[in-house]
Amino acid sequence: MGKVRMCVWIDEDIYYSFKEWVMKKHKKVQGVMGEEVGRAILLLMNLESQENSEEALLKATKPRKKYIELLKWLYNIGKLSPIITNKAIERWIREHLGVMSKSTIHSYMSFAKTFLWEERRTKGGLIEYSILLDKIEKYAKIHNIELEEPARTTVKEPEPSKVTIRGFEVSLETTSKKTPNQSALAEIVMDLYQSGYSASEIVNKLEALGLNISANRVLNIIRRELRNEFV
Amino acid sequence: MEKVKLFVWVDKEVYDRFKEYVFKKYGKLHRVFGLELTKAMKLYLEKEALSKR
Repeated sequence: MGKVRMCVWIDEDIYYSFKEWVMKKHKKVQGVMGEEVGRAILLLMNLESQENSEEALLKATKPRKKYIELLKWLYNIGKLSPIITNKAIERWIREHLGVMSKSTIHSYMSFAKTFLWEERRTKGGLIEYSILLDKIEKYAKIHNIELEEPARTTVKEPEPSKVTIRGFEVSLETTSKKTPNQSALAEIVMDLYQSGYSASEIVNKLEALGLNISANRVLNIIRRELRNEFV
Repeated sequence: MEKVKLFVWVDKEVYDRFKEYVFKKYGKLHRVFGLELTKAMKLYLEKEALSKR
């Protein structure tokens, strides 16, 4: 994309704080300052346009059932942790919506991006997004979408299949059942793990998201997920 | 408040959109373009500081 040279008079304080922050983030200023200024501009325009976003959202047609499922999942995961990666979303689309075609995944991602704000990109092609819960709520309200799962009636679970060996009843069911929150947490942990973060780094990342989880628990999740991959 | 001159290379598309946005808001660019850019940079810094917490 073409670039243009922008020359503007701005407040001194903001200029130096911004420069310092860019230096802190990229360890350099040259070549990245413009990129960050561009992001700042987009953020401002995005926020200002949000005031009129309700109108724009109203114009949009009601999404398909699978898009609604994606929206609900994004909302629920956003309440658990505000940051999510593109890989986690794509994996969920593949595994839970059964979408395999790249172009279809891309169209689901484009829909999801309406409710995401790009935080940062890593070298491995991983993009971290923050989930815009307010925007999802607004959109759901317009299209009468229930984001929260309706309270489920308690259904007695069937007895696990059992066999009797030498007079002892042994259950054949060995895999433990995960709650949705556990699986979401496991997805986040595995994403970070696969991006090359160590257990302690994952603990720090989760702590930054407001989740206090011990390193041992993180290791247990990684072991369990790796075990499950091979079962 | 003191002012400094900022020289940066930005995407043409972003620059044009921003110019259009400022013009629509104020009906002019002179004196308000820098004001809006300062606002954008301040907002971005605040958002980044918040997400670090």
